[in-house]
Amino acid sequence: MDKKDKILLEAYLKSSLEDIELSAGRIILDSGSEAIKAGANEEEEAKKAARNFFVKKFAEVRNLICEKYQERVSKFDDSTDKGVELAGYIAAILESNNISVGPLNYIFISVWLVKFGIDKLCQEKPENQ
Amino acid sequence: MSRKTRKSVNTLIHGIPIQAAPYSKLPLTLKKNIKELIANEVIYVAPAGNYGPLPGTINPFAKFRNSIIVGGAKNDGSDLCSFSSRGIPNIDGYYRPTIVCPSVDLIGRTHSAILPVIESSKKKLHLFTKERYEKQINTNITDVEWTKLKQRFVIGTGTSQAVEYLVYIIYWIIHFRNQRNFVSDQKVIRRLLTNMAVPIRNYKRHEIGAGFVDYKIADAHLKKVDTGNIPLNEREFWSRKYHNPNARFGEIIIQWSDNINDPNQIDFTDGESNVPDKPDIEGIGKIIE
Repeated sequence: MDKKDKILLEAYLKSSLEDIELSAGRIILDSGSEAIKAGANEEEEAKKAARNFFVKKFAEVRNLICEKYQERVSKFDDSTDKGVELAGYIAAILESNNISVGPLNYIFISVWLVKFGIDKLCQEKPENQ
Repeated sequence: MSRKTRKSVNTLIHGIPIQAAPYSKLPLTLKKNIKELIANEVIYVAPAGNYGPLPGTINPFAKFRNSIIVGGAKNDGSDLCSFSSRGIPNIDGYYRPTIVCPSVDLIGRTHSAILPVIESSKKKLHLFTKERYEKQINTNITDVEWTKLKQRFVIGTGTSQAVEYLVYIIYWIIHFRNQRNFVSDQKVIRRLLTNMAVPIRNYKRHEIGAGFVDYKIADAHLKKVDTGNIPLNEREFWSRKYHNPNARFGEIIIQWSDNINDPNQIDFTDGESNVPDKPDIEGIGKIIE
């Protein structure tokens, strides 16, 4: 993770979950087959798109992320900067496993997981079980 | 851009009201074309992007040295719009908006090919009036011109609309300078815009650049020139170095790169193909029709 990514990660962690979903949603809605489409999207539409994207992405990487997280969870508890370390760790897992993150970057997803609550997400039973 | 086009005009402003995802990379050919455009002293105006409010969300079309990057603010300059993309805080060397401009429910040609904007325009027909448009461009137009223009225009919100708004302020600044025999280039325009910008409370440089600019602010700033009250860091641009009484000012051409579906389709080789159907604002400057 370079200096720019670290600054972004810290800035994202200071932002609200709503702001993260707003930005992510706006990027998602303007991407894909409509990559050049411009114009500001409605806020609710953007947040909904982001939430769906993150939930779906987490379902894909749930086993990998939760397993790695459990291995290291005690170390994060002792850290003074738990959020930054945890989000950086998750971003590194995603990146090193070449997980597709669509139009977003790894930091977006890792910060969303931390802000939403990785503990809660990993404890919940997956929908297909 | 061909040499022929460059020689035939005085100043060329290129507005590029399009965006791509912040982490995407533009095709190399396209990047090369845009760099060439800027190297040829074309004033290149790009939207910051509509991916706010998080930092690090600047539109790749805006990430060019010497480009003028415009973010979106509320029309009265009281606040920054949530959607306006931001630069990266506390670090130099990354792109951020140069200034921010009005961007909410503006009437314009931008996005005329995009269905959601056309649909949203239908819901805002009450805003679609000649008076509102005249106020927006700070110029009176005839009923005949309005009848012609309104067939193609839509109402939109976003930083692309801010580009369209700013392009006409730039046009106006160049026109003002031409009338007084002052030559304009990218450096002049950037400095004037950043000097006239008014900060928005609670926002930082990576979010709003130098601040908010609209017609009123630009007008008030330019009036200082005639009264001799010019800011120190701007004086060289109103000095002999930029003054040329013998200059034969040509046209101020506004070029657009919208109505496209594929970035590879943008054609920078000919300024004639993407010209706007805006009214010819009085004076020396002229927009090609």
